[in-house]
Amino acid sequence: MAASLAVSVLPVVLTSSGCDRQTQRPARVGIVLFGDSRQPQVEGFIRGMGEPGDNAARPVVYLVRNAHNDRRKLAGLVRALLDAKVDLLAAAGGLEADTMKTLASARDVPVVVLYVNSILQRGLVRSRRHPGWAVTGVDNLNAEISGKRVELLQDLIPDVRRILILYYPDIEPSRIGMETARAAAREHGLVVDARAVHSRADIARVMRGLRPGDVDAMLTVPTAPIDNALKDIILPQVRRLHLPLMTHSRSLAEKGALASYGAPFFGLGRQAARLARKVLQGVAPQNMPFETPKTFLYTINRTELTRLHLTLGPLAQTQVDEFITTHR
Amino acid sequence: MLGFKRPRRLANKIVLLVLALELVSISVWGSMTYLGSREELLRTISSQLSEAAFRTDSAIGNFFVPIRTESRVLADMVASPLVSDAQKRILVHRLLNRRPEVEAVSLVGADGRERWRVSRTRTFGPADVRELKDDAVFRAALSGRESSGPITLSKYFEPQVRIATPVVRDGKTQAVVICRVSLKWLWDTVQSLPIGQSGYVYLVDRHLDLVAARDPSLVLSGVHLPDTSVPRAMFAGRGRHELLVYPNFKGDEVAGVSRFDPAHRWWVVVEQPVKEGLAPLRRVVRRFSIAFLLAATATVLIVLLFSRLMMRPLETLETGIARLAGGERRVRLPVPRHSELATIAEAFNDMAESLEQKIEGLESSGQRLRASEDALRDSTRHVRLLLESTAEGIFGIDESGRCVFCNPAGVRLLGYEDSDALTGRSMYELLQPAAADGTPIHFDHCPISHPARLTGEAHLGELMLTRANGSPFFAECWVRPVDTGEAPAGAVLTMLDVTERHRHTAELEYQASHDALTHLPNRNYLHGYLEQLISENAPRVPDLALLLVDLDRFKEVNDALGHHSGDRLLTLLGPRLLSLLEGQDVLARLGGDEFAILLHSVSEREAVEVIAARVRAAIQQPFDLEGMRVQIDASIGIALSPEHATDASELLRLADVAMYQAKQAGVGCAVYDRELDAHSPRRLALMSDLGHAIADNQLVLHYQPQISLSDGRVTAVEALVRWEHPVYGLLGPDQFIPLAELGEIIKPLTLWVIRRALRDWQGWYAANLDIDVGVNISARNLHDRELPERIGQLLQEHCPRADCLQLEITESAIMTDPSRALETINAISALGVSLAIDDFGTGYSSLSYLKRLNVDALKIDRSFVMELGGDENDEVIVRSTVELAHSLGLSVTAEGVESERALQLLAELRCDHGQGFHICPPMPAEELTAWFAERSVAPNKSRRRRD
Repeated sequence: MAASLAVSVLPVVLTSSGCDRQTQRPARVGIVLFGDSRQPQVEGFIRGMGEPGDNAARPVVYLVRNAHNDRRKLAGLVRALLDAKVDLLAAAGGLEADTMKTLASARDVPVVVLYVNSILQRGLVRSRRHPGWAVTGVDNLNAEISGKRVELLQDLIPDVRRILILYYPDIEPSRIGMETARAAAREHGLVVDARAVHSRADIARVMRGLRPGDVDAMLTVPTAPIDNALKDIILPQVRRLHLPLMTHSRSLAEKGALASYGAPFFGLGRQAARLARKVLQGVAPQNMPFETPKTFLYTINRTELTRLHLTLGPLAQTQVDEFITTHR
Repeated sequence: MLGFKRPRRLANKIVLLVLALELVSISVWGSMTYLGSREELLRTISSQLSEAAFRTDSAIGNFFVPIRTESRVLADMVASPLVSDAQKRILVHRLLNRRPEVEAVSLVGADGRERWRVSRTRTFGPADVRELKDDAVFRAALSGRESSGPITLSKYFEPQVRIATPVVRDGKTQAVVICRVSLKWLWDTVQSLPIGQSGYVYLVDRHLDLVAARDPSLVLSGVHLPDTSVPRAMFAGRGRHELLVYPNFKGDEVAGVSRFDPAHRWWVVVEQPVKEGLAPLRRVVRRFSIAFLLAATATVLIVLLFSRLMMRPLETLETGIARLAGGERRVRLPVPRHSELATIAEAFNDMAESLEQKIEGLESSGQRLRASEDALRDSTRHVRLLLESTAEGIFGIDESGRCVFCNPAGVRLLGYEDSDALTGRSMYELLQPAAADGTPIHFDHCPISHPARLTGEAHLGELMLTRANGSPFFAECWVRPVDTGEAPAGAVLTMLDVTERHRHTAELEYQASHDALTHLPNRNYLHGYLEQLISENAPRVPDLALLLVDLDRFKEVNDALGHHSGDRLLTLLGPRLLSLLEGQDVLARLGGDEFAILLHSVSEREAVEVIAARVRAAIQQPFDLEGMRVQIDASIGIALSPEHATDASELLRLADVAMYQAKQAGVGCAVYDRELDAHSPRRLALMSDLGHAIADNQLVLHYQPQISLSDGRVTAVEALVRWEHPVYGLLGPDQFIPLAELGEIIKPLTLWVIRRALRDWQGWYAANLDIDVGVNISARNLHDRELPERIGQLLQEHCPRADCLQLEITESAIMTDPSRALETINAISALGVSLAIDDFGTGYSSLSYLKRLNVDALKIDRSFVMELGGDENDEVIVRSTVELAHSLGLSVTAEGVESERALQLLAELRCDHGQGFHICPPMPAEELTAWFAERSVAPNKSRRRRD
């Protein structure tokens, strides 16, 4: 009797003692990016996920899906990741976040957005306090700090008076950026020449129609079509007119703009990683409001500075975070 | 099982005792060790968490020190009158560049009005100027000391804190520099401090409100620590607190320490789940448990082995006792050496040997007893088996006829629950025996009631007995007396249930004696019943009347409506007829459309005829068949007993004859008439004599003249045969011709008549009397293919002209077989012989046949002529017939002219010839010559055929 008792109990004990040695299941994180331009924040995210934290003991497997600038592919990629039973979805940008809102909320999969702006105006969340679905992330405030760019532009070129802004009225960040910039310009006695465009052709038409002296500088507001037209349409015209160009993204400065002011993508991704780690620990994403960027980076393209024959004043020199050089 | 405990159970108890002792000692030791280890581990955790709290506090300090320093530097620079506004802005921007955690820097004048502000996100404008004179942080700084505000949330719900530094110049606070510091950086630092795997830090302000936590929603929702499960002791006094164990916000058990940060007056709380902290101890406990189980198992096995070795001699002894108790005799135990059990084993062996000897003695005497008991048991078993397995009911009866025992089949047969219900009861009363036909058997005559009277086995045959529920059944019974060699001891009654056989037999008998369609008795039954009735009353012959009913027009119903309707009519007819009969009267269906009714105790013919008339009237009532009213009739023949016959077969035959007579006469109902019976003795004698009548020259011909109604001349004579029988005298043709038609004798008879008539014609012809002579031929003559040839021969022999001979044929004779008659008639006609249709109007002549027949004349039946002058219908018929015949080119002769009136009318109706008693009765040939002379008008040749 005793022997049989021992024989029956022993496997149970051995089995339960073995549980301690059982490894934790890796967390599966699906990352979707619209195109290669999102790579910096994705790299920052992955770097941030690997930093020491509360969930350091839990390994993470990343399933990265790139739509290669084809918006139509986004939904399919998100669905595929949901079918792969990921524990968390990371949206590299606003387009990806918009796509996930419908699909992921239906499956109750948490979403962390690495880079997005105008989260209320674009309808991504119901409110900052209560987003309405399992989402959190970093709001880059790209449109909201357009006024700061006006200020920096004035500090950079004190005699600037008239600033050209192209914007898409039907794109919220574009419109908000323009209005914020216009308000700031008004505070500082400047004039914003805002031109509404709706297509690349419009952009080209406006830019080609500019004559020397019409405006003193140009400012971009976060608008993807305008960003895409920068190299082919805007920069040639800007150079034709010798206009200083202040942009919202370091990548635009790298393409040939004079300056950029905005949150660094890599840092945003890294910042979002901390939120993602908390989600994997069990904190509900909707309990963590969208964060704002920890830092904003003021970049000056020294090549353009030279080309425009500009010299930085003391204040501007203090403000600049980094200088870059581009090759034409 | 045998009343003493098995030694192995003792071994089990030893094992359990050892195990229990081991378990108790190890449990006590284990518990003490566990508690001690837990205490020690918690102390370790406490120091670890305190270290984490210290590090957190240090991180907070490290976070704020550079900001405060920068802020002071800025304040000092701003305070300097040598620094321009532009330079001040540059200084501010430098601060922002160096300290990214600073969101914005403001310079507030002593009046509380914000002078300027530099922010990372937005531009300071006139609309953004704030008044801070009532702000606590500002006012604190204005008093000349650095101050910091509480943790607040930005519009983006991010924690922030303001640090205010006074700008002092000449010992007086001129302005205040306020830095808005984002705590995101600090939280990142603090929360990235490793505290085990799942430990964490949170901050509580001086109001004990949660200001920073891993889950921001807790901060946003405003958690007040005293309202939670976190002990207030954690926040007592100012300093640090050792480890406490308590449930956290979520209810999980945690170990926590707290540390007060005096610089910001925050409490730093570090918590770690106890489960995680004590995990090493749990692992030790688990491993210890495994070791304990293994050790316990090993102990059990060893103790078991040892106890087995110790208990084996006892088990051997136990087994020996058990074998002995189980009946085994030669049981001896091995005697162990050097053991206390050797004496017990030896004593056991002695006892076993003694026991064996005694048992052997007992066995030898008991063996014989068992043999006889076995035989008796077998015999009893066989008897019981026999009684229980047989299907026959077997009852033991005592000398007074009471049931002593019975087998299960008997109980079932009589329908009782068990044999107790039968025992002691009178078998006669139980069975209420009766003969198979239901006649009760009297108690005194029943062998079951008096077993003592039995001299041997008696077969009682098939009896009708009664079951418990009163239902009868049939059983084949035997009773056999029980012979004990002394006084009568009773009997054994055996019975076999033959109810099914009886029922089957009765069913077969019924089917054999009844008609399947009408369920009426059939011919067999009626015949048997009649025989039985007559034999039972012998020698007296009972008064009986047998009515044989043959349905008329039933065939038409069958043909027109189908056999189904015919069958339906028959089934309807049965009840209709039965309603007319009385108790013992029998209605039987003899077959087809023939029924028979047997009336008892009816001897008077008139009474029978009345009943027959009722029967016929009932049959004539319409039948409703498939919505159609069908009317039939019947011909009923009546035969009486003993008047007509005294045995069954004869009675049936005579009734059949009478029915035939009724049908022939068309009277519907006829009582048997011997005279009309072809099979009556007289008729049979006549048939026998007829064969000799021709050879013995007993036949004679009489002739009846026919005259022309237009001029009264004799035109022909009809030859009528008579038989001068030696016994019965002169017989008319109706008395022997039908008999002759029954056989072949009609053929020579007809030829005799023709030959005789032709001879007489020769005489008249020689006497210059030129008349035709008519001879009747029957239906059978028309079927004689040789007749035309024979007539031809006779004509050649006796007559120079064939047309003097006229053959008269009745309609019915032709219609018997029209095609054959046509053939014969045409052949005769080809000889030149004329032909006449006799008795026209009584049959069913087809006009189409009349057209095709080579006949020359019609002879209207006497029934239409005799009443002529009195019955208008007859006159119409005669007129029509005359006109019809004339239209066909035939001459017409009216028979049965019995009055002058008729004669005149016939002439008026343009009938050609007349014949009858009023003209001249039939008479021998020689008298006819005299009649011609008396009539003084010699007949002249006149053709009767109309031209």
